[in-house]
Amino acid sequence: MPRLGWSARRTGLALALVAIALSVGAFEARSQSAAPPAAPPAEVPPGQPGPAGEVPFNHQVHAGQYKIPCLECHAYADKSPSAGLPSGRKCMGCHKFVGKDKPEVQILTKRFEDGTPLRWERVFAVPDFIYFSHRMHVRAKVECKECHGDVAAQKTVQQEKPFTMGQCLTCHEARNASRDCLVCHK
Amino acid sequence: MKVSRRGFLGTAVGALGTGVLAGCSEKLPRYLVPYATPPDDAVPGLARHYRTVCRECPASCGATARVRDGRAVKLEGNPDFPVGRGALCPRGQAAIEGLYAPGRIGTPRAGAREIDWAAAEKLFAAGLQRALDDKKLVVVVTRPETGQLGKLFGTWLEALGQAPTQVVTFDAMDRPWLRQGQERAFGAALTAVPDLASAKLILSIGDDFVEEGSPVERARAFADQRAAGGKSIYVGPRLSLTAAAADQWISVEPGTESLFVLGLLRQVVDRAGARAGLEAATLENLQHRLAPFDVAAVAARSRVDPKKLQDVASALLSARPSLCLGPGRAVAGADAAALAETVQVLNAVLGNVGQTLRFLPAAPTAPSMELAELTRKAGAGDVGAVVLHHADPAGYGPVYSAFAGALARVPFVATFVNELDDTARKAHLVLPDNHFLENWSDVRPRPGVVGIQQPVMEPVLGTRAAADELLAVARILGKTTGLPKETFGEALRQTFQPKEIEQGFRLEEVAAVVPRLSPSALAQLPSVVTFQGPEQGLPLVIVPTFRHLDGRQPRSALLQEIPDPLSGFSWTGWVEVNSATAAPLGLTSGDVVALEGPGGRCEVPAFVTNSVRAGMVAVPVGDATALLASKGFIGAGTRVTLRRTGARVERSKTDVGGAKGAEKLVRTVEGPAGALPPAVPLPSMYPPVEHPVHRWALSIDLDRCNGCGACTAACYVENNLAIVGADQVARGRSMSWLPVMADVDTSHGTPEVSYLPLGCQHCTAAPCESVCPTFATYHTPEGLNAQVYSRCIGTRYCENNCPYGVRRFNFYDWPRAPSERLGLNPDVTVRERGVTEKCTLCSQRIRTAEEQAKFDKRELHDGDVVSACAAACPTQAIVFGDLKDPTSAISRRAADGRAYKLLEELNTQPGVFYLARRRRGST
Amino acid sequence: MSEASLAQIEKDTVATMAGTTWRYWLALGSAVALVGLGAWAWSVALREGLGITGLNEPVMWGALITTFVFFIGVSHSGTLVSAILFFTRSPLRAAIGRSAEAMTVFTILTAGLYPIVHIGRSWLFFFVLPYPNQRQLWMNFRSPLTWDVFAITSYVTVSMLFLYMGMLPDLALLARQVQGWRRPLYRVLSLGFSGTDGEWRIFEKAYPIFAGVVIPLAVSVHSVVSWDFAMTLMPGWHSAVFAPYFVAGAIFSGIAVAVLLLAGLRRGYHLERYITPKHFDMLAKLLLAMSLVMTFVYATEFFMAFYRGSNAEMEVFRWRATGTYAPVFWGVVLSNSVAPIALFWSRVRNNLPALITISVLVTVGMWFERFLFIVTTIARSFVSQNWGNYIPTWKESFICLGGLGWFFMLFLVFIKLFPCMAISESMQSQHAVDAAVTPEASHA
Repeated sequence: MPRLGWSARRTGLALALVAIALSVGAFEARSQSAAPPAAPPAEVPPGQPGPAGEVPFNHQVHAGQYKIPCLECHAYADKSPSAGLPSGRKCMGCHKFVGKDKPEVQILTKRFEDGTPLRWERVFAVPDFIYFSHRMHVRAKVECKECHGDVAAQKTVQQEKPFTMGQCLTCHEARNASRDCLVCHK
Repeated sequence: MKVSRRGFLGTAVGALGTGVLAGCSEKLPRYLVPYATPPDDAVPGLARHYRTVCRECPASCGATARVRDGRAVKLEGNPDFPVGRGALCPRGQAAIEGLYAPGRIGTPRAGAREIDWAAAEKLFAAGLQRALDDKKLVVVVTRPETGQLGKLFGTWLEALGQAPTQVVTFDAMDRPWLRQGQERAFGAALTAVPDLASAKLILSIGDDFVEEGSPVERARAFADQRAAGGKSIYVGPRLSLTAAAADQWISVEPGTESLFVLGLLRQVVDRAGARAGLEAATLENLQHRLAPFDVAAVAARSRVDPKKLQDVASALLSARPSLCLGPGRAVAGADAAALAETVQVLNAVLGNVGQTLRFLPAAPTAPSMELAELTRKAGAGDVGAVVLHHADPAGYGPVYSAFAGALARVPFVATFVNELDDTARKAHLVLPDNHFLENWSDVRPRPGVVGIQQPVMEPVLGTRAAADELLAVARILGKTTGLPKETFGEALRQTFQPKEIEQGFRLEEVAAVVPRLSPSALAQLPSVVTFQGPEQGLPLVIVPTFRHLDGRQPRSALLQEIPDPLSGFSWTGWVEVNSATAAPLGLTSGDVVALEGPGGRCEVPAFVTNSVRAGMVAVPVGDATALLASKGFIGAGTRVTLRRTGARVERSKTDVGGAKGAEKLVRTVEGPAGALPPAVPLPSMYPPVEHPVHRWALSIDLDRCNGCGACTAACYVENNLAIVGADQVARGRSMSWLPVMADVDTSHGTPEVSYLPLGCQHCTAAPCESVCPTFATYHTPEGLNAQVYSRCIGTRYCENNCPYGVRRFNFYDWPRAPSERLGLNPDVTVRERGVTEKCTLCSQRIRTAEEQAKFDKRELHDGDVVSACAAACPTQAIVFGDLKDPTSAISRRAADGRAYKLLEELNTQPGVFYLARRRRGST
Repeated sequence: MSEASLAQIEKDTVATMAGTTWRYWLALGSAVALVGLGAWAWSVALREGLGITGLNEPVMWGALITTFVFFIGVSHSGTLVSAILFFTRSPLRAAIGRSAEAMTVFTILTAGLYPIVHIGRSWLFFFVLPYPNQRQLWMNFRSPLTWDVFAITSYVTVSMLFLYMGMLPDLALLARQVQGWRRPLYRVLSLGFSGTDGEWRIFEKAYPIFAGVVIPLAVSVHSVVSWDFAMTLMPGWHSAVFAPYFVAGAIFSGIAVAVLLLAGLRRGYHLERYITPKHFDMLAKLLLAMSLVMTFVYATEFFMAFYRGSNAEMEVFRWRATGTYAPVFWGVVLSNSVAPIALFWSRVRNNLPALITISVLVTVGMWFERFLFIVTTIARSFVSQNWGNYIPTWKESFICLGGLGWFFMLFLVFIKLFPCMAISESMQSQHAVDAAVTPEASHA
């Protein structure tokens, strides 16, 4: 019946429009995600680190895909209480040649050439009153992932296990390490 | 290593911001910042040590800076350096505080206006140019600079076309009379190198060598001398640290010390002059000169028992070699030089010269200008520009008022400072210099010893090296002849071997000379000091304090906070009045009195005591409130009137000095070989506590401790102790973990003072542990009485049950300036409000050392761990170590017959033990 | 015991709950105001830290702990007295038992607050409680403070049960008597107690058990609190006399406060018929006896200090009597040892104003007595270079007053909601109870 027909056509039309809108929107979205960042790296006063997150570092690629060992970049973990983050120079060691076309790598390069350090969001932390020595744990053959989780599988690193006294103690007990308070509490 | 450090420091800046937060803040940093270019051999998280020199006073002790992630966090001595030999005084300990002081300025100022360096240099150049155009003099006024910087001033002036002699050395605490006296006695410019350690008897004529001069070095030698059984006599008006450490204190009528010495000399000459090996002429001259000073006359005039005088003489004659020192500031009157000469003659006659008193040819000092001359010329308007280098004459009140006045007439005054001082406030241009820990320089504390001062970190603020600024302005003026092309630091560095820089010094051979007494010695005899001022007034004596010296660090909150053990005052100066003198005035300790005299007027609380002679008053120098006034009196023998103002300054503790105390904590033994009765082990119902591997402990030798407070200061810096301020200290909330208590024993006539550093005793059966409901405090397997801050809920039960009263409570979150946070030790957390804290025996140091040893797969050796207090102690009174190691230094001490523990009868079985003080009685 | 008719008793008792006079509101209002003041002061302490108190090195315990000990002390007598009277089948009990028990409960509830206020990090007070946690942390059973926690919690529990249990029949009674919103409340609270013989038999069995438990508990609680001090090695604290001394002191202050409360109730609600001069006379005698005990204890303390021959301890007591706090000390002697001697004379005992005056003196005196022995010891312990003084600040005293307000607030609310006298006990027999719960009687 005409009325029905009309309404059916209208409905169909409407549906079509919605579909188009959606697909366009989706395309838009996709194209946006693919688009290179319009803004060049922000200018920072000399000596000061750049803004956080300007280089979206991807552990999945580095640790997962390319199987770069943790100690390659966190070079102090076996020598010092603090594991350390890779220096600009360390990054450039590879990125002088690798992925030069990538915008984030270009930011990295610029920062290194200006001699300004990068700024990273902190993910893992123990309280200030706690003393934690990476090198002693590495020495005791504690796998990085036992505390830091499977970083190699994460695009951006997330804290999987909480860093609580309970966690520490459970492991210390299991490995029959010292449970004297002063070992950790400072 | 140099290059690596440059790289390290160059890139550490970024790391600083977060490193700081990570290090000390209760709130953890949100961001992490790695190096752009990492240094070759710097590992973040591990400490690095740099040798340098402490420049807090002219003594220039060797220093070692501990640097964590680009920040100097602790300054300690340099064990290899002859001056200081590994120890550092409270002022040296406070240097770190000065580095991060909120009062430091980072940008140049023209008057009150902050300007950038380019503008500052332009202004500087313009000022100098004007002076040169007007054919006026350019003069440099500097603190003592014995090294290449001192020379640079000369060359710089020369480059500007001025005379290189236009350099004035400004040192308010200089003691010229000592040099002059030597020159008069021996007819040659000499540098004396006294060897206290090997003297059997030391006679100090008011020479507070434990307080000023080269305190750390002297204090150590003096302690060694005591330990070796040597005796010591102090002649002076006041029981200073030096006097307290000596065996006998003789106080004579103020001003008549010279008579006493002359009387003494006459005795010595009469009895042993013939055997002194002097030329006949010299001896005859002496006898002739000394004729009028027979015992009776001298004793009568200087109000001292004639027998005492003779006893001292006999003691000097029997104890060879002896050593006579002085006169010190406390007895230095108008013609101190003559008195100094007399003392040297005494040494010569006693045959100490060449024995305990070595002489070196005085270092060739560059010809320089006297302050008086500058004052005159400036007053006459002949001076076009004055460049001050860490010199603050205006800060010294009346004494230098003339110079300060003349300075006002100079058209251009530039000054290099770390913090704004009184002179800088009036200067046309203020140039913030690097702190000495950020600067290159070198010092020559004495001929043959060169200390190398190397920067240990990048400047905290935007400061620049004074020397480099001088060079820069010279370049602007285009007058660079003879000046280094590169920076002063570079130039200086090239004059030393890397090895020398690494060890922090260079030693040069200097042949000692044995001068002969000049035949015309004592041509001019010292006269009795006459005190100017109101007739009814009392003679005033100004004395330096170990903690403040002349108050060149008036803004050091740390040094202000630590109370004086004897008077109990902190955050204020005080005037010492004998109880006999105070009685008629109705004075009690704490009454604020107004001192009035030619030197000026000041209001300070009174300290009523027997440690100062009756009929006079003494003001220790250099403290914030008494600063101007007391400095103003320096060197001048004046009389002052005392008047009660009615105000009071309360001391938080009611029994400073432990006079009324029922329990005597300080124990003494008679004579050098004395020993205490062995302690009987008390029964206990608890099973004995086992310490399987280590038993860390501390031992404090009360015979060596002279109460300087270096340990206290070191503890503040190492353990991030809060400085709570005058008000809170007065409320009894000082956070000091290791306060030094005084114990005054008056049972033998003259007060005998012992000092007792009293920190946590780390008891094996600790009363605090059993009462803590949360196990926040417990006994570790290594013998520490540990405090777990995060488990503490602040019942303060432990503090009530501690018989030693050494636990501290955080009544507030104590305020800290952001810059001060930079100086915090990252190995120690900052305690939150509401928790209890106390000495941890530097558990962080133990942890670090044990970890390192384990990491290097080796055993821990004695000396691998040294607590901050033990490291700082100038006299080595404090020894830290492991009692389980039978070979350790502390185990040897534990076996000593003088070893005892505090309040042993309570059976707390402390891990800290003391060695009883030796009483030698009077000579 | 009383010549009043059962109906009369009931009516009067219920009256205390029904009519709300302006006096009541005034009292409640001022109590709440005090609580507010204290709460404000505490909030400052929480924000800024305990620096707002007068505490310092060496005096780390002061007015707050004093108030804690004081309230524990007051709490003491209530339940104890009530239980003792129960066993002695004393006619007094019906009149004063209930309010005494209530006083106990509320004073402990008040006292319990102070340790929490006093500690540096109040928000972590639960660290002293045994709760399972992954950190394998427990509390220290060697610490008297831990014993305190257990002693006090069990004491407050049992006291509450004792109070509640005693009230059951009355609640049942009231559930029938009152109208409006209270009725369901009482019905629920009475747990369906309907006064049958069976119920009464069980009640008669159960009640004595509580009464029996409460007495040793009360004694133990006070001994434990005293051990907070006696178990230390501080001169003037470390003493075996402390436990009995505390118990005695507790009963002493408890009686004094009981006298005041009863006098207040009596005046406020015209209970002259039930709370008779005889009662006060008995209490006064008890007060006198305890006062003599306290005097003896004081003497013992000084003698022991002298006899033990420990310098530090002798110094503490010498200073207590002659030092900074000498006026306080002699004031305490006057109020706790001298003033009560007047009670030897029956004229004084039977003169209510006089008795009240003495009770006030004793109450205040006992607070200062606690203050004195706490402060003088730690201000004057072994190391004389650490000796100091302590004066409470205003904020500190506000917190203490807040506790007083808190106590009165609870008490006033209680007497408004629950019968302040044991109606059922006042009634001689079970029959009486039955009679009372029949509608006819209620119309009387």
